[in-house]
Amino acid sequence: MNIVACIKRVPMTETQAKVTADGQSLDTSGVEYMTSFYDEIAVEEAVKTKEKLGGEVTVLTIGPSDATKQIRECLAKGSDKGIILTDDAWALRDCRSTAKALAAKVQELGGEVVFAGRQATDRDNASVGPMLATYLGWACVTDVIELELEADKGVAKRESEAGVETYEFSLPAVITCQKDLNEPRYAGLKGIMAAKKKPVEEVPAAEEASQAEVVRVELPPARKEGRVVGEGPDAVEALMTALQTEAKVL
Amino acid sequence: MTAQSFGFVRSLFLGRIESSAVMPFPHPDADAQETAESVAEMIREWAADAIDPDQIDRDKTISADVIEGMRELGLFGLTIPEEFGGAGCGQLAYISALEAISNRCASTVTVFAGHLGIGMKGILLYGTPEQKQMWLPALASGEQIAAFALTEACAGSDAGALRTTADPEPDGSWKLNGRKVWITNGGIASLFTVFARTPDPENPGAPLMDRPISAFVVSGSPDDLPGLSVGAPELKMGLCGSSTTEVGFEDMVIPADALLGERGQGFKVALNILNSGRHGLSACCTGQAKLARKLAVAHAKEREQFGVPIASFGMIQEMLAGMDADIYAMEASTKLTAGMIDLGRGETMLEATCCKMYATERLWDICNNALQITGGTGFMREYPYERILRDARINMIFEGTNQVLRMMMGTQGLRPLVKDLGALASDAPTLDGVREDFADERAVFESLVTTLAEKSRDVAERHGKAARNAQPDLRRLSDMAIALYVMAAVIARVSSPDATPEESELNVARLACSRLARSFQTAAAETENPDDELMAKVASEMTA
Ligand SMILES: Cc1cc2nc3c(=O)[nH]c(=O)nc-3n(C[C@H](O)[C@H](O)[C@H](O)COP(=O)(O)OP(=O)(O)OC[C@H]3O[C@@H](n4cnc5c(N)ncnc54)[C@H](O)[C@@H]3O)c2cc1C
Repeated sequence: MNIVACIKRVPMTETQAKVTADGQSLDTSGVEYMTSFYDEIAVEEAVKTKEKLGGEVTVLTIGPSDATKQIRECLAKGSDKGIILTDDAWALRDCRSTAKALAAKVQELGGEVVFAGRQATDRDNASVGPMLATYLGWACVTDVIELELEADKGVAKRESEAGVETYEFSLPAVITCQKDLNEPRYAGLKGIMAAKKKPVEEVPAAEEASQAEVVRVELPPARKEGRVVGEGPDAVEALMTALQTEAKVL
Repeated sequence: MTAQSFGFVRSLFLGRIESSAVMPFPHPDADAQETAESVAEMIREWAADAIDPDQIDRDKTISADVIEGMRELGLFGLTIPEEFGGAGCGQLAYISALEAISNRCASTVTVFAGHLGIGMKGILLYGTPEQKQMWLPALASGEQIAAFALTEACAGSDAGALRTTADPEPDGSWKLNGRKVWITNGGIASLFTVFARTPDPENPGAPLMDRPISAFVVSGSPDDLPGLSVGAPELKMGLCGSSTTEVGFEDMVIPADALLGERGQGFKVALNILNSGRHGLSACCTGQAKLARKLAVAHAKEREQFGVPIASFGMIQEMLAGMDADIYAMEASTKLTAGMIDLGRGETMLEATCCKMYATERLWDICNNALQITGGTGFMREYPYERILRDARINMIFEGTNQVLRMMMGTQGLRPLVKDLGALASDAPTLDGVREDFADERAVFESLVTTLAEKSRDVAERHGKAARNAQPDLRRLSDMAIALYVMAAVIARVSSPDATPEESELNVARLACSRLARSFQTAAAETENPDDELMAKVASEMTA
C-alpha cells in the first residue's frame, strides 16, 4: 500500500512563548522543535499499516530544510522516505494553503491512505486533515482511536463528545489520529543507523496564497492567583457560593 | 601535528601550547554529530518513560525491563563495529548516550558504562579478529553483559599488587584462582575481563608477586561458568541499583584463546581500558549535573522567602551561575576530548584524566549547591537531591581515585623536566584561532601556561628525581593543568568556526574562564607558602 504520513515541526512542548515586537507572530529565536505529538501517532500508525499490509511509508511535511531532523526521526522509526515541501514562510500559511499543497503532493505520489495528527500542537486548528481529504475528494475519519485497515477499506472508531462512533469507509482515505490509537515506538540504534541511508527529498511547496492571515498574536492573560476560601467542612458553602457567583461554573 | 608533539596537556607543563590539538574545535563530521544527537534524543525519550530512578534507588536493583529496554534499543552495541552486530558509533555518540542516560539515572548508566566503557573495551582494543568474532556479537545484542575485574581486597589503587593467578595447563588452557572485589555488573555479567598473574616462561620459579600480569576474557552462560562464584550485592551509599559484587575463581578452567593481548602485558591492557573509560565518566557527571541544575533552577524560581523568589538573592545567584559555568566547561572539555579521539588528534590520556577529575569534583560541588538552594526540602528523601549527592560521591573514587590520577598526571607532566630543564619553551606560547572578543581570556590563558611552566621548573629543580614523591606539589601542578585544559576547551568551543554563540552563551563561557583562572591561581598561590613540612609532621604524629 502507498502510505503517506503528514507531520508538522512544532516548538517543543516546554517552550515559553514570546510574541514578536510587531505583535503579529511568535518569536522563534532560540526555539527548539519537535514532531507534533499527534503526528508521531500518525507515523506509528503508518508504519504499523505497512507492517501489516506491506508497501511503503512516505513522511511528508511543509516547512524549512531544518525539518530534516524531524523527518530523520520518523525514518528511524520505520518510515521509508521523506519529503519536505520547502517554504520559508511555512508558518504563515493558513490551513487551506497548507492542505492544498499537501494534497497536490499526495496525488502526485499516488497515495492510498494518509495519516495525520488530529491537530498540530502549536496552532491546534485541527483542520488540515479534513481539508486535505476534501481537496483529494477522499473519505475522512478524524480523531481515530482504533483502526482496522484492509486493502481497499477500513473500520475506524472515533471519539466524539457524544461517545464513540464506528465508521466503515473505503480507501483512499485520510485518517487523523487521536491519542489512544497507538503507542509510538522508540527508534532504536538500528533504526537511527538505517535512517541515514533513506532518501529525504526537498522540493519547493506549491505556491498558494493564504486566504486567512494572522494579524495579531497575544499571550493568554496571566492567571489570577488562587484564593483560599476557608478550611475544613465549613469551607464547602463558601466554595459553592464562589463557584456559582464569582466563577459562574456551576 | 608537529613531529615533537608531546600531547596538549603534557606540553602545558613545558610552557607550550599545541594549538592544533584543540583548534579549531574538533567536531566530528556532520553525520557523526547528527547520529550522536539522534541517539541522545532517543534515549531521553525512552528513559523518561521507562526508568524510575527513585524506585531503582529504593529497590536497590534495576528491573529486568529496563535492561531489556536497553537491549531492544541496541544500546549495548553502540560502539561495537557494525560487522560484529553493533552500531559502530564513535566517542561523541558514546558520551552523548552516557550523558542522556545519566541525566535520568546514575545507576542505569553505570551498567551501560560498565559494559561498554570497561567490561568489553579490552576486546575492542586488543582482541584478535577471531576473538572479536567470538565475543562481540553477543555483547552487541546485550545477550551477554560484560564486567571488568581488576580490583582485589589488597589491590585497589595499587592494582599491580593483584594476586589472582592463571596457570597454564598442559593442553594450553588456563586455570584461574583468586577473588575480585567491587565488580560493577558482577551479578548480571556473563563475560568478564579478568587480570591475573601468569608464570614468566623465562623465569618460571619466580615468586608470585614478581610474575607478570596477563588479561583474560572469561565468558559463558551465566549459570554455566563452573568455578566462578559471584558474591551478594554490596550495600552501597549510592549507585544503589547497579550491581557491585565480589567475583571469585576457584580452579576455573578457561580455554587457551581466552588470553587477551600478549601474555605478560595485562597491566598495560588494564591501564589503557581505564584511560578510555575515564573519559566516559565525565559525560556521566555532566548528565547528573544537568539534572541537579534543572531542579535547583526550578526551585529557586518557585520558592519565595521574604516576599520574593529566592532566585533573586545574590548568594543563590552565585551558586546558580557557578553551576551553569561549570557545566558549560564540563561539557566543553568532555566534547573536546571526544573530538580529539574521533579525529585522531594525538594522544588523549592526560586530557581524559583532566576531564574525569574536573567533572567529578564539579558535580560534587554542583549537587551540594543544588541541595543547599533547596534548603530543608533538599534534605528530604522524598526529593531526588540526596540521591544525586549519594550517587555523585563514587565518581571521585573509581576508575582511578582523584589523588592517584593527580599523582600520575603530575609525574608525567614533570618527567621531561626532571630529565632536562631544556625541555621548557623559550618563547611565550600562543593559543591560535581564538575569537576576537575572547582576547582577554586568551591572554590570561597564555600567561597562566607560562606560570605553570615556571612552577613546574621550580618543583623539578627542588625535588629532582624525587619529584614523583612530592605529592602536595604534584597535586597543585595537576590542579593548574586541569584548569588550563578545561579553559582551553571553553575558549575553543566558543571560537569554533561552526559555532554561533549568542551573547548569553558567551557570558557563561566568560564566567567559566574566570572561575578556571581563579582555581588555577588558588593552586599556584599555595606553592608560594607551603605548609608542606608542617602538614607532613602533623599527619605523621596523628598516624604514628
Ligand atoms: C561502586 C564501585 C564500583 C567499582 N567497580 C569496579 C569495577 O567494575 N572493576 C574493578 O576492577 N574495580 C571496581 N571498583 C574498585 C575501584 O576501582 C577502587 O575502589 C579504586 O580503584 C580505589 O581503590 P580502593 O578503594 O582500594 O582505595 P585505596 O587504594 O585503598 O585508596 C584509599 C585512599 O588512599 C588514596 N591513595 C591510594 N594510593 C595513593 C597514592 N599513591 N598517593 C596518594 N593517595 C593514595 C586514595 O586516593 C584514597 O583516597 C569499584 C569500586 C566501587 C566502590
